[in-house]
Amino acid sequence: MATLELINVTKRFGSTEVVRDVNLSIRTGEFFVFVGPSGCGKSTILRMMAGLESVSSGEIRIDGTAINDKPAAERGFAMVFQSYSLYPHMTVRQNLAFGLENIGTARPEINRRIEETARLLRIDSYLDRRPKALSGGQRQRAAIGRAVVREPAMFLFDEPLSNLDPELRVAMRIEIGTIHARLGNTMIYVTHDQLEAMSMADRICVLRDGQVEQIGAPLDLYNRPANRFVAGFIGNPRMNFLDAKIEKIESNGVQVVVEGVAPIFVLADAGDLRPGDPVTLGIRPQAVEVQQGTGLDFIVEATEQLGVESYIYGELVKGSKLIIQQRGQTPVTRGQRIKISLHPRFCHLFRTSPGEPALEPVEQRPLVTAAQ
Amino acid sequence: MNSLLTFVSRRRGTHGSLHWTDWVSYAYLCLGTIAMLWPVAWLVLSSFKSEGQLQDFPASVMPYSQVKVDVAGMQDQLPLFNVKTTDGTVTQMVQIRRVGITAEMAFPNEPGRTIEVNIDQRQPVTETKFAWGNYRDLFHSSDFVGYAWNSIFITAMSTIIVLFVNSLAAFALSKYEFRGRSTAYVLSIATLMIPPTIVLVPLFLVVNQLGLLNTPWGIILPGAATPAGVFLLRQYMLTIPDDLLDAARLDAASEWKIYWRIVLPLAAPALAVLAVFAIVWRWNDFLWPLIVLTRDDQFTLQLALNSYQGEPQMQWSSILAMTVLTLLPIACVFTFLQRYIQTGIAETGIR
Amino acid sequence: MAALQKRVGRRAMPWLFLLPNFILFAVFAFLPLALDLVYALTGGDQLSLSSRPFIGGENFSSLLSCGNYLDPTTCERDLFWRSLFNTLLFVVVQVTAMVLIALTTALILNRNLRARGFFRSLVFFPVMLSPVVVALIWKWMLLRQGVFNAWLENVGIAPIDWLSSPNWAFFWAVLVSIWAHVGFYVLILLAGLQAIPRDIYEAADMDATGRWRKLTRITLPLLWPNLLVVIVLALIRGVQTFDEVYVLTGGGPGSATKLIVQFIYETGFATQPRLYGLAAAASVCLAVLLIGLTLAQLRANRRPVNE
Ligand SMILES: Nc1ncnc2c1ncn2[C@@H]1O[C@H](COP(=O)(O)OP(=O)(O)O)[C@@H](O)[C@H]1O
Ligand SMILES: [Mg+2]
Repeated sequence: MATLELINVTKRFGSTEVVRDVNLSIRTGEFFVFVGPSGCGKSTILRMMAGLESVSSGEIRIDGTAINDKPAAERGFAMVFQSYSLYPHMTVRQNLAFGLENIGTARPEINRRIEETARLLRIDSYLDRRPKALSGGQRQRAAIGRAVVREPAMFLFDEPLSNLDPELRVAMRIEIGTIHARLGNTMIYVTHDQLEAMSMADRICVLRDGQVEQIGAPLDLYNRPANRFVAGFIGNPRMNFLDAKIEKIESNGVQVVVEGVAPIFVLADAGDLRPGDPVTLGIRPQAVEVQQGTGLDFIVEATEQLGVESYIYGELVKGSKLIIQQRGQTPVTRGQRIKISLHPRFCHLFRTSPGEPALEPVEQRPLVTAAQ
Repeated sequence: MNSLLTFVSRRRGTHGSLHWTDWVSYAYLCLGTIAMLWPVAWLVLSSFKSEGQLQDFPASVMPYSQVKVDVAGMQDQLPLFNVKTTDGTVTQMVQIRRVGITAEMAFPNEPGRTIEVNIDQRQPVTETKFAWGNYRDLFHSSDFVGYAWNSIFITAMSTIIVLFVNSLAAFALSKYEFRGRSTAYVLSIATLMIPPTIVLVPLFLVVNQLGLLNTPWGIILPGAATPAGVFLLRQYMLTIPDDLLDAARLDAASEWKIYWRIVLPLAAPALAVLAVFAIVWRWNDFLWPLIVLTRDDQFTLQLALNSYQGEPQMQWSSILAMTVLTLLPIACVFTFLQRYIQTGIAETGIR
Repeated sequence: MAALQKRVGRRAMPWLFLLPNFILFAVFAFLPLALDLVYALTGGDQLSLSSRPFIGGENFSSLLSCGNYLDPTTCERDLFWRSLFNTLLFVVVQVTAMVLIALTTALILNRNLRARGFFRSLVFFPVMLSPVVVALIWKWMLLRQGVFNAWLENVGIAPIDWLSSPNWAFFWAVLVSIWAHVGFYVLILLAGLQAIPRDIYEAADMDATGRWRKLTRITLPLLWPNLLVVIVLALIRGVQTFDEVYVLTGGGPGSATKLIVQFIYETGFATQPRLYGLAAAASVCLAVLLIGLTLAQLRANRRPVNE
């Protein structure tokens, strides 16, 4: 068991930088998730940790010692690949045994470990089948088994569930969680699915274009997104973003206006911003409420009724699209004009810096969470 | 016959009757079948005829032998003939003995009563019979066994080396990123443009300098690094996912082990295609062995056939049998592996 | 092996894997290619390079000097010119006929016929046979006492000495090599035909296109790139023909069926003194021809389908 540190890690393929200056530290026994859109460099980071890819600059350390030049085999990590990558010409048993044979484990020990792993993952009944004869879920289990059987210091998962159908994905998510609880090893997990990240992680690292955007516990990221990117990435449906202007700055918050809409008061710290500065108002769909009587005008364009909840799509004013998530079922229909209100406690403000796509939050700690 | 007609005239998959072009197609294919099959069939049939029968003109289609029957009171079986008697009828009689142009003949059931018959008046009664004599003689001649052994040794060795050397190169070219990889690949493929026919003289020097003249290795080694093989295997290995290799690396497998335990087994279909090609290439090789192997104890079957057929007092009976035996392994390979071969060729245009 | 990897490092492993192949390539392909020129520019009948005097372009001028280029008898090396002429004639006739037959056969085999696979295997079968076997199969039928003459006699024609008449010998050389190789080209063309999407034909059917029009306006244009490849491949192989013709006719009668490779073989290896330089010079001429054809092939390969 060991802590893993990345110090200023950068990876270049030719002249393109795919991973830029990543710094982080993963604690022993932690379930650590990298999440980000595809192509952002998650796999590359994982593969550098595994020793499958060289590090262009910076250091990867285990317990303080750099392991940049250590071959993959000697790092004591095990990896589960997206496409399972079970050796197709070997049975599940042979797949599990292959790595142990390579490091010269004694036959009885190999057998013991395979039995144990098979019981843990419930793959005993198809140990002697080839991967081709297994279903997707069974293959996934076998692939995890191949990692578990090596008793590695750390598990690396690269989008292991993305080839499974949604139902199975949920089941496997829980199962991997159980295995983590049972074994207690460090697990490093890569996914592009924020839901997976939120549901499994102890801590999450959000990546964009090879750079770390924010590291933190799932709810930290949800409640206090460090910037507009993280805010948009975490949470489903996506956070709504509206262009706004600061109208008035008060001691406990900021009053902003969205053009053509009544002023909105947000519990946030304006920092160095002045009245009249443009900002982006972020509000989660759950924080918008449909009201009877007074409120902001909203024109419904479409609705999705899912039974337990419903989504309302529409326009606040011309050009300001909004998604509203409502508990239960709603009677509104397309074209209808309704009144809504925004919960000031669930509003976020982001800085609009021209030229920079990323918007920074005005206030790292919206007062709503401070109040909790 | 009727059902055959309906079988043929029903098109695959569709119903409906035949267009005239279908009939023309079938006619063409039938002619083609005869043109392709007859020469080989004639060779095989002829190889079962004795040297005497091979001199027949016109020859009979099937190999035959004269019918002999038991006759009461005679120790040996006697040959049976159709005899044209003076009144023009034809009867079957056995020949007791022959004296000059007349033969002493008798009816099989009354051997005591003999008649003299002019030998022009009788025709031997024959039955189709395959004579294995030509083949037996071949196997009893130590020469043939030696040639066969040379051919087998060259083919087997060459195939193993081709598979090994080419698959290693293809592995490096398909599964590693390294500086100079594309140059290395282009260089390998460029040798496709150096057919042996244009480097005969200097290749002869090289083989001579290496002391390989009149040894099987003089054939095996120059043919071992086949660009076509590298190409074919590389194309196939590109389809093996890289993740599999990475998984093996994390499983502490050395690069050699990855090649030997992962890539090679997975490339088996392509290796099979290349193996078939390699077998056919070396087994059928002619020009280069003709130059390198000049001592006839080193001859391959192809060389032996060539030298036999060039001799003034050539014996077609043994040449024919030897030809059949030479094409037999290839025919077997073809029969069992033709799927592989045909898709291999269709996909790569190599042969 | 694992120890070796420890020694040289993982990055060197691919080079190690390439090594055996490259040694073989270097020794048996690239080195000889370079030596080809050395031989062509030196004289004498010695094999070892050190005992061969440099004579410059003499071998080439000897090969190429001719009183009248259309009449081989006026050339210094009349056999070279005869074999060159023979090769060109052989290639033109053989490739034309073979490609036409291959195309017809492929078109027919591409139809929705019964027993297609059987017929396909049948035309392909001789491709696998050794040239020596092929030549002997036909030689046996073409004997004076052979089965062809027996058939002729049946219809009342006097037997012909097929392989003793220059024209007949040439004819049979061409025919036998077509018989032996046509299946290969059928297979390539068939693959090309089967790569033409079905729905194009379905669209044509919707447009009430006739059979002949479908052939000339859809099939043949779409097959053209494959056809081009086949033609060039057949040319490249045709120019190098040796085995089956050599065994069938020995180049005879006289030199009526002697092809260029046979000239090289006989000049360098089968006659005394062994004129290695001359043979190498002839090889270089052949190489030039082949390089031209190979470049044509590369161009044919690159040609896009929808041009
Ligand atoms: N071997 C490589 N050579 C060049 N570019 C690569 C290589 N591997 C990955 N990349 C590039 O690096 C970026 C990050 O890739 P990756 O780490 O696989 O993303 P992710 O796993 O987050 O989807 C991508 O833009 C990809 O195109
Ligand atoms: Mg990835």
